[in-house]
Amino acid sequence: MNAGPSNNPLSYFQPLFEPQAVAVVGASATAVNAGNRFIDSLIKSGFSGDIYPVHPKADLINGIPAYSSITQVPGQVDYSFVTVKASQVIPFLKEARGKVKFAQIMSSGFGESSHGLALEQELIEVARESGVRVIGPNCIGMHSPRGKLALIDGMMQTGGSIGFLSQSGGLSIDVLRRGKSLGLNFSGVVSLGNCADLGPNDLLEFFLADPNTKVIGMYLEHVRRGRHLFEQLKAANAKKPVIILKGGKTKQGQRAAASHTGFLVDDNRLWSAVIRQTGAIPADDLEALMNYFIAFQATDPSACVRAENIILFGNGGGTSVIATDQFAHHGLDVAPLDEGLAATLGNLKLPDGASIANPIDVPANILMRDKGVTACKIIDVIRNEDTAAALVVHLNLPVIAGYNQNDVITNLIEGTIKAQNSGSMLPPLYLVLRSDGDPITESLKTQFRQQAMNIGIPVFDELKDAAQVLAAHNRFMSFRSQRASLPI
Amino acid sequence: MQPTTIRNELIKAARDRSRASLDEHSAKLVLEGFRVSIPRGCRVSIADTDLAQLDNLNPPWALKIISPDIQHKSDGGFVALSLTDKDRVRQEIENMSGRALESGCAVDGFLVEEMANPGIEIIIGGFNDACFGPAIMFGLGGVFVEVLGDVAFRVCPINHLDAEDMIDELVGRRIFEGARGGVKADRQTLVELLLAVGGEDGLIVTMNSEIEEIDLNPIIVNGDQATVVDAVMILRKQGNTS
Repeated sequence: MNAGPSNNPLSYFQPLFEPQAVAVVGASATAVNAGNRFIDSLIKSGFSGDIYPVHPKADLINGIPAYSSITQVPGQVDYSFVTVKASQVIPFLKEARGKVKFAQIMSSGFGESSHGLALEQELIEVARESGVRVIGPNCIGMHSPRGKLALIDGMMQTGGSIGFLSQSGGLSIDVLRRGKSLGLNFSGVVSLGNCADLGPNDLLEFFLADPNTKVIGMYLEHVRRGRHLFEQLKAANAKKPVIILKGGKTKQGQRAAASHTGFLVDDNRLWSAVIRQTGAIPADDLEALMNYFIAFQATDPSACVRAENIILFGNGGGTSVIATDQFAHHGLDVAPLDEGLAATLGNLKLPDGASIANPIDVPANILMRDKGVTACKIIDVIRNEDTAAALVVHLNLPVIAGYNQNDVITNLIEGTIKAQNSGSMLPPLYLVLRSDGDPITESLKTQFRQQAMNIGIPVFDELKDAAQVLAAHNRFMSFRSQRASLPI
Repeated sequence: MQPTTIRNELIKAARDRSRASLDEHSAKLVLEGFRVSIPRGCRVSIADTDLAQLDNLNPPWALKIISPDIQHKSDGGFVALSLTDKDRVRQEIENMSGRALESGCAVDGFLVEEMANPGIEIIIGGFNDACFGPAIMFGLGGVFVEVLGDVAFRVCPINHLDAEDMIDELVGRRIFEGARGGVKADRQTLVELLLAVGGEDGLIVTMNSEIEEIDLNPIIVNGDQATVVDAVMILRKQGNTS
C-alpha cells in the first residue's frame, strides 16, 4: 500500500492540484484527441510549469518537444495525463516508477465492465509497486484553478471555494458547466472514475483540509471503504458543509449503476444514517446539489445563525402564499413581523396595495417606484431590525421587465450591498429570480444573477429552492451547535 | 462471574457444539451483561419433572423450547403463555418435546420465564453492513415494522444524540408518549437501551468479532421498564472476522 495522504493532505496532494511538471501520455502527432486538447488548455490557461508530451515516435506534439518514453522525461513529473489504450497503461505505470507522483488515467477498458476486471486488478498492483498514485481509470480529468488545470478546454475560472469530487465524469462536467452559468467558482473538481487506487475518501481528506475550500460536494456511486468515509466525516464534525449526492439508491438505480461504473451498490438506509450522524447534507439530484453550492458559496457557516423565522418579500400575492406553505413544509415559519419591525416598516408609508405583514407583498408598480428605492428601503429596514431571520426576496421578472427599467434591479442590488456592508450579523439574504422562460426575461435573469452572485447574494430559480436550501442550512447549523462539543 | 467470562463461555459452548447461533437463554444472559433487562427465568431439562426452580418465579409463566433447529418458535406451537401451575408446564414440555423430536429437531431444554407486563413493543436489530460495518436498527414492533417499515438505522457506535435522533426519526414516535391513552415509554429508558446495544461499550461493538447479527424482538417497554422478551444472536462464521 502506498503511503496515504492522512498526515498532511495539503502537501501530499499539492503536486496534483498545483503541478509544476506535467506529462501528457497519449496525445496524437497527427490528430486532435483528449491529450492534445489538454495541452492546448494548459497553454491557454497560462500554465507556467513544464509540459512533457510522451509519444513513441513524434518529435513534436502541439509544437512542444516530445519524449519517446516517460523514462526519458527530465526530472520529476508531478502529474501525468494518460489517454493511451488500456493495454498500454500498465507498461506506462511500470516505467513511471519513481518518476511520476500522480497519474490520472482517462483510458477505459478496466473494472467498469466485467472483461476489464482482471486488468484493473493488475493496474492496482502495479500502481502500488511503482509508487505512482492513480486517479481513475475511466475518468475525464481535473479542474484545478490554482494549478491552471482545466477539465473543460478553455474553461478556466478564478479559483473559488467549492470542492467537488465525482465518480461520474459526465456529472463533473455538468457541475462545472452549470456552475459557470450559475456564478459558482470551484477550488477543485476531480473526476475519479473507477477509483482503482485513490478514491473519494482520499480527495475528501484534501478538501476538508484545504483552506480554499469552503463547501464540498461528492457524487458517489460506490464506496469501497464506507466505514472509513463515515469515520472521516464524523471526525470532521461538520466543520465544512459536505453535500452527498448518492447515485444508485433505488433498485432501478442500482442496476443502472452496475452497468455504469461496474460496482455493486450500498444500502440506501445506511447512507441516510451516515448523513444524519455526521451532519452531511443529502442532495437528491443535480439541481439540489447546485442549489446547496449556491447557498454555501455565499455564506460562511461559522458566522451564521439558524433562521427559522423567514421574512418573504417580493411581488406576487399567490406566489407568496404558496411559498409560505412550502417553507412550512420544510419546518420554516413565515411568521408575523414583530411589532418594532412592523412599526418601522409602517413609517415608510408605503402606498395602498402593499402589504407589510409577512409575507411582505409589494406589487410591481410600487416596487418600481423611484427606480426601486422604496424596495431598497424595505430591505434595509428588515436586515437591520431583525437579526434572527432569513430574508428571502423574490422578484417576478416578466412583470418587472414590462416596466423597462432595468436599473431597478441594479439599484436593488446596490441597496442590498449597502445593507450587507452595514452590519456584521445580518440575517442571510436569498434572492429568487422568477422567470417565465421568455428569452428576454431569461437574459435579464442571467444578467441579474451574475450581478448578485458576484457580490455574494445567493440566487435561486424558485422559492421552493430557497426553502429547501434554508432548511438544509438550518439542519447543518443545529448539528454544529448540538455536536460541536462532543467527543469524536 | 464477570460478564466477559460469561459471554466467552456461552460463545465457546455454542461453537463447540457447532451451533450457528446462541440459544435464546444464552443470548439473554449475554444481554444481561450489557445491563439490558430480561425476564426472570430459568432453564429446565426434559428430565426435570420436579421443576423446583419454578418456586422462585412468579406466575404466570411463559414456556419456550430451546432447539437449534426451530427458528420460529411461536409459529410452530413451541411457546406456551400464561401458565400458572407446574402440571401445565410439565404437560407442555412433554407435548413440545414429543412433537419436536418426532420432526427430527434436537431439544436442548426449555426456558421458563415470568411473563412481562404488557406495554409498547419495540424491536432492536444489529448487523454488519458490508460497506459501513457494525450497524443498529430500531423500530416499533408489530404493524409499524412489518407493514410500514418504520425503522431507523445508524452506524455503530452511536452516541446519546444519535439515540435521541433515532427515536425522533420514527413516524410512530408519538406512541412512546402514550398516544390514544395507552402506556408510555420513558425516553431516557429507550436511549439507555439503544446505547447498551449500539453504543461505544454496547453489545454490537464489543461483540463485533463474534456476533454477525442480533434480533431483539420484541422488547416490551412500559414506563421506565424495558424487557427483552425474545432474542436471537447469530454467530459470525469462524475464520470470518473482518
